[in-house]
Amino acid sequence: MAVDAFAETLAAAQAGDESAFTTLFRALNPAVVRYLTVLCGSMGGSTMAEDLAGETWIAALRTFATFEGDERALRSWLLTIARARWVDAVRASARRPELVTDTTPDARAPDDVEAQVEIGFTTDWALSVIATLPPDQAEVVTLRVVGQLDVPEVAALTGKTDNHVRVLTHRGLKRLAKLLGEQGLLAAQQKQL
Amino acid sequence: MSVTPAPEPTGLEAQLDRLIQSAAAPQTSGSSALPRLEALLAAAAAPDAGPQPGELEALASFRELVVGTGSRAVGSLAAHRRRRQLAVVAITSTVVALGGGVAAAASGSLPGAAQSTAKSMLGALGVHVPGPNQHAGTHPDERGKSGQSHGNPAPSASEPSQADEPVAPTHPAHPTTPASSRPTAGNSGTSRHHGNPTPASTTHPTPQHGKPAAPPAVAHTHITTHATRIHHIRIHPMHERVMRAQD
Repeated sequence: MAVDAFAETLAAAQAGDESAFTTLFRALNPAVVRYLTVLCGSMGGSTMAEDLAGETWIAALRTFATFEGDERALRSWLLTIARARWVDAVRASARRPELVTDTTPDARAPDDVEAQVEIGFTTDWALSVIATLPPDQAEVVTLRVVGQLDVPEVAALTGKTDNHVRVLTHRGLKRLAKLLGEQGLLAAQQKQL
Repeated sequence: MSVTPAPEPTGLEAQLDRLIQSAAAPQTSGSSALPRLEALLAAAAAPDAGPQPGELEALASFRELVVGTGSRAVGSLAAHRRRRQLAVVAITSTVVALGGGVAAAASGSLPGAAQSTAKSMLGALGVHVPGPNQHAGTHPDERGKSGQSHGNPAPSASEPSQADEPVAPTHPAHPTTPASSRPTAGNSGTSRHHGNPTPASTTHPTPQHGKPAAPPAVAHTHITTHATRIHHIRIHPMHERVMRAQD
């Protein structure tokens, strides 16, 4: 969304225009839901992510009328709230009694990667692959790719240093490349460089 | 304190950074070095401008929390007006009550203690307020006194020096009875209070809430009786000497 168009849409939404708010919601909610989907992982799946996204919007709307900033700042603000809601959910689930079961969680098998490459990537599948990364790497990769935040913004959101964010991002991307069968390409490039 | 410089990105890391940027802005995509990874990141960041899950709930929250703010502002305006009206009523009531109290104090129609308090408080503000006994005439407030003093003349009342100046009666109940013009002590028989018509209580009310400035007449009587006894005691030896002389 262009800067001027975003400013007008934000002002209209803050004045109570529902169509303007719908435009903002459709532009920003996918990043929120996808980020929460990766964070939740196998904890609650997309259902939990959508619930937390709803809580995120409710929390944001309480002070939405006084928000000032561009689209990037609004997205970063929403993702920060989403992370706080996810932390609350994790703490709440930790207080609940653990359910012991014999069935294994519904995790995607690594064999599916090659088959999916042949079929083509979908957003849900891409997110599920990113979610297989270690949590720190999955989070920073998602924030950088899906949230479109730069390194300092991700560092501020996650409470990490800029260097740590860079390292985690690169490690995550390398791991994804290997997972996608591109480890040979990665090794060749590293030799060339 | 030494600051560790940020590591310079290697060629591979720079390429990964470009991958991220290309995923965020697909039109700049063109890297073919890691096509699968690039496609994966592009799929993860694919725009989805259609209806979103939870959109209706978010709109409902928007109506309640953002659109409803305007109606809440109207409501708060009405509440503000209501509070202002209540404040006006409260201030008016307070002013009326204070004015009535001051008027009652100025006319001397308050009870004795309240009149004395009003005199001391309003007197500090420069408002002339009569004392509790100023209009009492021969009926000074004797609140707090025991009944045994009634009917006994106060010493000050028997002093003619102050009573020589008759004071015009101001009590409406006794327009023709200048009580303070009767400096003589004693019971008048018309009222049990008429025994203590001290001039101080008629013209210069004391701050003792209606108590007469003079000590109780009972004490004076006791002293007199006691002195009489002493006199008698002293007389006895003389009487004995006279009797001895006579003997």
